[in-house]
Amino acid sequence: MQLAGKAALVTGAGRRVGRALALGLADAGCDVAVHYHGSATGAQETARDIRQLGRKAELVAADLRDARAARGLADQAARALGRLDVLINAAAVMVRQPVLDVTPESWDATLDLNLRGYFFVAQGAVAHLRSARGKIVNIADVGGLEPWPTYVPHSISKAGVVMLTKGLAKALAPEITVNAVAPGPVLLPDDWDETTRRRFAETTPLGLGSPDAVVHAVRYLLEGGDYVTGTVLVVDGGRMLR
Amino acid sequence: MAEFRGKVALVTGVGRVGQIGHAVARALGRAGAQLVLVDRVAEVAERAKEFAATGVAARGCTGDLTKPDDARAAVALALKEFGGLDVVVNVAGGLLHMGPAAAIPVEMLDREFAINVKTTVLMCQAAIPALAVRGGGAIVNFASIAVLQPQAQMASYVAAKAAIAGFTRALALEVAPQKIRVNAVAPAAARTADNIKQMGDLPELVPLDDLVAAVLYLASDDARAVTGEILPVTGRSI
Repeated sequence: MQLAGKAALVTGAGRRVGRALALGLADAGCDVAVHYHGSATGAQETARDIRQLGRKAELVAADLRDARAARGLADQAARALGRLDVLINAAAVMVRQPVLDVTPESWDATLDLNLRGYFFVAQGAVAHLRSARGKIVNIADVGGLEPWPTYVPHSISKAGVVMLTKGLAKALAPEITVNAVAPGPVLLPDDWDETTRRRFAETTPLGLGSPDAVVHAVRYLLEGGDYVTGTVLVVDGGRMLR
Repeated sequence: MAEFRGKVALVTGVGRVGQIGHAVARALGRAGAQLVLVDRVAEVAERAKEFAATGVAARGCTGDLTKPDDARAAVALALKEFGGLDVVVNVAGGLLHMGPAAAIPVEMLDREFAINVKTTVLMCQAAIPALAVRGGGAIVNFASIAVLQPQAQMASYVAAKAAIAGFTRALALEVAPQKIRVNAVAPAAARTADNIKQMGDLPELVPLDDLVAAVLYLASDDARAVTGEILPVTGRSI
């Protein structure tokens, strides 16, 4: 797929990797619907930076824990941009929850956004993407491929994203390809201390990465991966090899 | 997308037009790489001349990559002609035996492992010192989707490709400190001249452009955080 002139919806585009993805797609020539929920200021900055790249940016707000709002998001984006070719599901939380601290509410807060939200945003996008022969890329996490004992709900949500990716890939072929990128330590949580950061750098074969690595992986899946669907591309500096 | 200007790439299995190695080399050349083309057939010299005629710096190297000296000679050619080596793509290999696993002749087993596993291992061994001198580099090996979804009646090929996948991941871990990345693609049957001839023009054959895009991504700095990955290119979910 040539990205120039296409329209992309990026969820969670107000901060961190979602923001990098929105800017990366704009840099590749896409107009972007910048979704946000809590990060209004960040989303406005993302939109401003996209416009500076000469592309159209439209803000779309929704609480994706609400499945109805999630299902309607693609319509909002397509109305704002006039078309929709690409969906990047990136809006997620990563909350440390030792098993005995997990409550039904904290469980739902993670699963409703990270997994149910991805599904219903994708479901709402199907009609648009089918007609455009579009693409979906879900941002998973290596936490969905290996167990993290103090992040069990998070790991489960991301393992769900892996199966969501494969299931949708089969269900939506051949019109829509669906793939995932599973980042490793490309952008550590803001609240991690220096000791933890250093430990991660030292235990990752290629060291810490950057959000750009995820952007490049997503661009490969969009631009070069016309024949690739149902794949989870791990971008983790070799961490899964340990 | 992927950019290879100023880089030197060595590609194996480039002897014949219409096959994967040739498509990979052509794309690397178009993206700016200087090329060393390796094959056991002498026609590789012709391929180098054809690339040169299109403005791509290319040298051909005839060698049997089941022999360590021939693998080392290919790397030496890259150093002599282009002053270094940044990328290695091990395409050379192939499917030899089809039939029941219980009846694979031992000679066939040895040969299948030699042309797939031994060539890949020896080429990597020869290339690693040269890649390390440059401060890092990228190796892309050819596994097969059969590694992830085994197929009947070709067990020795599946086993050989699984060995390549295992070697890829083990080597990735070992050479990460030298900033050398090692990955593999895992394609389904590709739309090569040979496959079309043997299997017919099946729609599910992987277009060479799509396979090439995966290889170039893994070989490029775009994938600087990707190592030990076995990347499927199949046209369907797995």
